[in-house]
Amino acid sequence: MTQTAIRPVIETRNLSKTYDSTGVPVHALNGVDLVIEEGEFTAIVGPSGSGKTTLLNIIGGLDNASSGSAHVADQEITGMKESQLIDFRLHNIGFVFQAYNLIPVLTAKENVEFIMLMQKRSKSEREERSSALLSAVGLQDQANKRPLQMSGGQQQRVAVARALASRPRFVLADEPTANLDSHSTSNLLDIMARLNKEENMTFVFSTHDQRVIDRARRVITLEDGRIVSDERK
Amino acid sequence: MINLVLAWRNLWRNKRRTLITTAMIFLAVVLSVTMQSVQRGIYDRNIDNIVRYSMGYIQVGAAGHHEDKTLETSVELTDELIDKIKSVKGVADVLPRIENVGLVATDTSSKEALIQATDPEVEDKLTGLRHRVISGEYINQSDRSVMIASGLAKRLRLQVNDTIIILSIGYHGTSANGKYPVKAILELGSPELNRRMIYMPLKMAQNMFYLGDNVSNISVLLEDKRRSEEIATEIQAAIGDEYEALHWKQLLPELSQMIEGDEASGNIMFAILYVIIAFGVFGTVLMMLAERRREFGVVTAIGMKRHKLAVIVVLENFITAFMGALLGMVGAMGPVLALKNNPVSLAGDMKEAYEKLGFEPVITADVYQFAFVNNALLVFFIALVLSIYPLVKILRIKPIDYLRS
Repeated sequence: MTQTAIRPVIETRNLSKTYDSTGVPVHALNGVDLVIEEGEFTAIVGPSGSGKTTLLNIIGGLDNASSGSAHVADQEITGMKESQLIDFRLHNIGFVFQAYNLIPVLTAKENVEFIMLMQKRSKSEREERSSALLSAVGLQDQANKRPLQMSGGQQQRVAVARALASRPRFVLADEPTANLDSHSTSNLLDIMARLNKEENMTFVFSTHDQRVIDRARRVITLEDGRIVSDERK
Repeated sequence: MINLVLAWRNLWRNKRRTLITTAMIFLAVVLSVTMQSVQRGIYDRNIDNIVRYSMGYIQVGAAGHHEDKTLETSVELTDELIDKIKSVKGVADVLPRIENVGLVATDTSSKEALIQATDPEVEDKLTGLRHRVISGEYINQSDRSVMIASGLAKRLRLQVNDTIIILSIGYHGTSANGKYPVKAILELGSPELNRRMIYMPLKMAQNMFYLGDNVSNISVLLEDKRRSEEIATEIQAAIGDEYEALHWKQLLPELSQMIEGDEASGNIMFAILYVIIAFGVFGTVLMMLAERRREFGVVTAIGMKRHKLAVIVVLENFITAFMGALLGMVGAMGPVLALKNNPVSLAGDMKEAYEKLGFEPVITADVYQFAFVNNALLVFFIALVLSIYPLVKILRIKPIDYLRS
């Protein structure tokens, strides 16, 4: 029996982040070593202030580490300039934010196409992929609606479709179910789990939501900026 | 294209705010264009009243005539001189005139008057003087009679067919007197000219003042009066130093300076208006930036380049400016055309105030293209300046800071 080589998409070494804006240093991350491999469905959990969002922001290229390294999607991102990071994020990472954060003046389909437009994909590819993704999240009939015409759950499903539109190496989702009711949460998790399984898409969540934790195949717990447990199911 | 679509849709996210901002620009442009067009209309009408009926937009005389406006500096009217003037491009026609001062007397009173003599037919063709007759008949070249402005007629209690005596000084200090019937009374636009003018045929004046074939000067009428300075220079070059060709601003420096001063004070007022509008629009820009802070964080987080986002926001500013300026220019056409086609005569204190300035008491407007273009450019310039702040902010976006807000 042959085994397929699994590539790490995220690898951090001794990653630390200290905030010093008030003059009192706050150590949000303290030497985090983490490897997330392709196809994982990982939840990062922990109490408020444990460093979940900081970790996600650094591996998402949104924030800089104070020390350590972050090797993400085959690139060392610590030390990259903001202009380089924008390109890096565009081509490698799909984001799903807590508060949906779709562009309010674009329809669901246009929101999904928008990121491909920035990648300069052809019109036919954009149309084909946005339709496929909206179908995958069960919103093909809502394609021409603007975010404010949709429910929170529907908006978050569009956000997932948008995150996948750029064919990223992985999806980072910061508290994706925080604003959703249980039905929408279940629906969204089903979709993400299916995309993970069928397309081998890597998902990394930060969450407090037990429903997400229950569905994750790996749960990393942070406390005071350190990994205190790393369980695989 | 997506930038334009996004900018357009973003504008209508807050319809009320966009409409209010557009309305502010619209009102500023309407007010500014209308006021400048009215200002220009009034100036042009009064310049025309004064310049056209007295000296012409360009006046050719013997060298030194402007400094010494007596008949001693008269000029011989030759075909060669006329041809040289007419050879300059932009000259529509020439009108030889004699100008002198004199005392006009009736049996009961006398007043100082400005005497102007021309060929009545050419004068009418070029200035429409015939249409200024309010009673009596327009004179012809062979007449031995005069036309008198209504203000002077009123002061002397004269009517058509009354007789006046003119006492003046002719060429080389000769005594030039004559007794003439009043053939017509004219209503002139300029209150100053209306108080003092007497018109007579050129030949009659040449005889009265012992001028032979000489005239005081030659008025030059132009195809485009706004080119008077340039054409005066060309005429001067054509006729040589023996003569002088002066444009109306040189002939009437007081009027020219008064207009320039009035325009400058008007411009200060418009500048204040636009500064107020600019602050209003800037307030809108600041509000928009504050409201969309998180959205800017999201779009840059997912990979939108900051300069592309900046283009969209700048486009939003320009579209608002364009809508306001375009609607403002269209809106200004209404009052400008209405006043151009239907000048409003003033009465009461306003009338007196205008007359004291030597202006015809009439509010009119000119379709002043410069005002339209200038105001549109000014609005775009303001939009450009107001775009600097959001541009700098957006180009410095760190998504993490914006996402936290």
